[in-house]
Amino acid sequence: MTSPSRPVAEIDAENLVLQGPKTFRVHGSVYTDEAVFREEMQRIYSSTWVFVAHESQLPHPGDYKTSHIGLQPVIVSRSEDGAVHVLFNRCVHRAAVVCRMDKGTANYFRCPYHGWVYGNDGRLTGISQRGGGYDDDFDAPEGLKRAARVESYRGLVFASLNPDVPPLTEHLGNARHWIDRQFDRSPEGSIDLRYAPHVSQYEGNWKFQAENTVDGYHGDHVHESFWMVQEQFGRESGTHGAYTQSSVRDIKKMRRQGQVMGFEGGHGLWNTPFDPAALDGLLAGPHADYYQTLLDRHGRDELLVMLSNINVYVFPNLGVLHGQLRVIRPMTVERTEVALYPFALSGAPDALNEERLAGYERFFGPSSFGSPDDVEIFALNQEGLQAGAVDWLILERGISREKVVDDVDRTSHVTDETPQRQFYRRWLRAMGASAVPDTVPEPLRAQARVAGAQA
Amino acid sequence: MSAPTAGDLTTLDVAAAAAFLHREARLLDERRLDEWLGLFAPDALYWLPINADAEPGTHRDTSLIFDGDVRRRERVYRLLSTPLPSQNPPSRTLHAVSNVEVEPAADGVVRVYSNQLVVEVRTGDHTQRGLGTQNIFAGHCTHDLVRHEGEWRIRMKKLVLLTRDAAVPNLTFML
Repeated sequence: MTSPSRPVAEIDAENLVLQGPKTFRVHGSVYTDEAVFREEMQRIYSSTWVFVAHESQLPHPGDYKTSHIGLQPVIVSRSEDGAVHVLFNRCVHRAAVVCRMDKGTANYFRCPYHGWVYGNDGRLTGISQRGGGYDDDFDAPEGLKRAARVESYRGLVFASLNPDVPPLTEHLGNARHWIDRQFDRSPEGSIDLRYAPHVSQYEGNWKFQAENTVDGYHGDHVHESFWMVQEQFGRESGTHGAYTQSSVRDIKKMRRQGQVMGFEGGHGLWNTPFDPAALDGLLAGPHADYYQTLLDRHGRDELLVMLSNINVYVFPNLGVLHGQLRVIRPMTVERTEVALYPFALSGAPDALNEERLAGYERFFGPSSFGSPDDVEIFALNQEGLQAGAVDWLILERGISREKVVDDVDRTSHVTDETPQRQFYRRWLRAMGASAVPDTVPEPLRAQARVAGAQA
Repeated sequence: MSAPTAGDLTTLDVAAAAAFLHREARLLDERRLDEWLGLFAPDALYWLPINADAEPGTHRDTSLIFDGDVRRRERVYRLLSTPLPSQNPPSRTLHAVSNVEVEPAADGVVRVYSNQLVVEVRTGDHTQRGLGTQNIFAGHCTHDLVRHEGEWRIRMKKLVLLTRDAAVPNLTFML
């Protein structure tokens, strides 16, 4: 076994991504090599901000939920004083987990092995049969080990194992404005994870879900089935889902309008516009008061952006899109869990939230008409990668037409692979690539092939 | 169909209820899904809840399936008439029904409890991940049956899977 902290990288990340003016290729071993995966757990999941919970999942003192930072199990707990703690789910005595439920309410966590007891703030409050068994000057740990840093943004709780990680808002960068636009659809400006999640696992690398959350190129093909359902039943099915009253042809046309963005921090955006002509219908519809409130607060121009289709990916493990938080949990180099938490808009009419949930369920979840087709593709990807005779995956769509905005972010046509390239630029920095080559010399290609062969 | 005798149009005995469920299982396994749609009364619900304690018929929490009449027809259309990666190759299923019990009729609704085991496999190139592996889905099932146009029809089918709140795999086949 490799020890958890290694000073020297096992892999040479910069050889795993080919970059040039018209070149952007990722080596297959990025998705299959266990050394790459171990390195990612260390250099990404143990170094940057990782999403662990939403505050609405812990509304009251004593509430907790379990979560993960990479492979490491944690408990996110709210103590009596209202503070949120991110604690490793491991007894500091002899390592057993102290919490076996996914969520609940608890005054304390008691290790089932030898009965050590911790408060819901993580402090060690009791050692069973202490007297006589331990010296008076026994060096007892303070309690459950806690994440080095915890910060939240609009209720999204992130933790980091890195005490020197930059502030969370800096990490989120301009991606946070597109989270704002989704949460601002609530009249109270907040979301509520009151619904059960859909949880699935797939036999593929975690980065396939990360890339696909903001991929505007696959829809015509992977989701043709859904467009056909929509063409056939869109009118009868009411407001559930997008593209009502449209033909497959029109849906495909609509999905070619808009933009993608790749943000400095490796985050991404997929965004297709809301038809301004439809706003009048909403303002005269069954939820007129709700839409009028939003219009008064945000103005017409901003409201039209807020009502557009917005998919945000936050590096490395969070998606905010289509009324859901999407949490990616890497398990092994070729196994990943994805939890989809549909959320309610706080203060919105119950009927609107029910419609949103019904629309969500139609496309998302293991029995739905959309996301199972994406998940199937991830397994196909991983299967195809067994053909290691092919070196590279090609992420060059739109490379010559993307533009730099705000000096650090990039934007391009809605079907371009701009967010995916920005993801890998961030990935390279995190993985310790020292320089980003702007040409692709043949020796580097050869080196990368060797790196792949060693995988 | 397990048509009841002319003298008994208000309830089913266990044998007749089991025969109804067996017929439904056969239609699902043979992918005769248009006929399966015909087993439902108007305004019927086909429901796989995640929260087993949710009140019947309400929609206040996430479900794996919450199909009213339109959504049920959409599901069948998608399975039989559209190109979907998650069912290429398609699932083979075996629905086994047991432990059938009938509750006395109330307000014209007969409640039938059963245990359902669904065994599912996708073959194709069985050497590939996701294919060639047999999966088992066990659940407690409740059928509310009503008389409609002279036949017993489903008002609600509720299937509570044992794994409903754990990680579940591709469930795009008929359960």
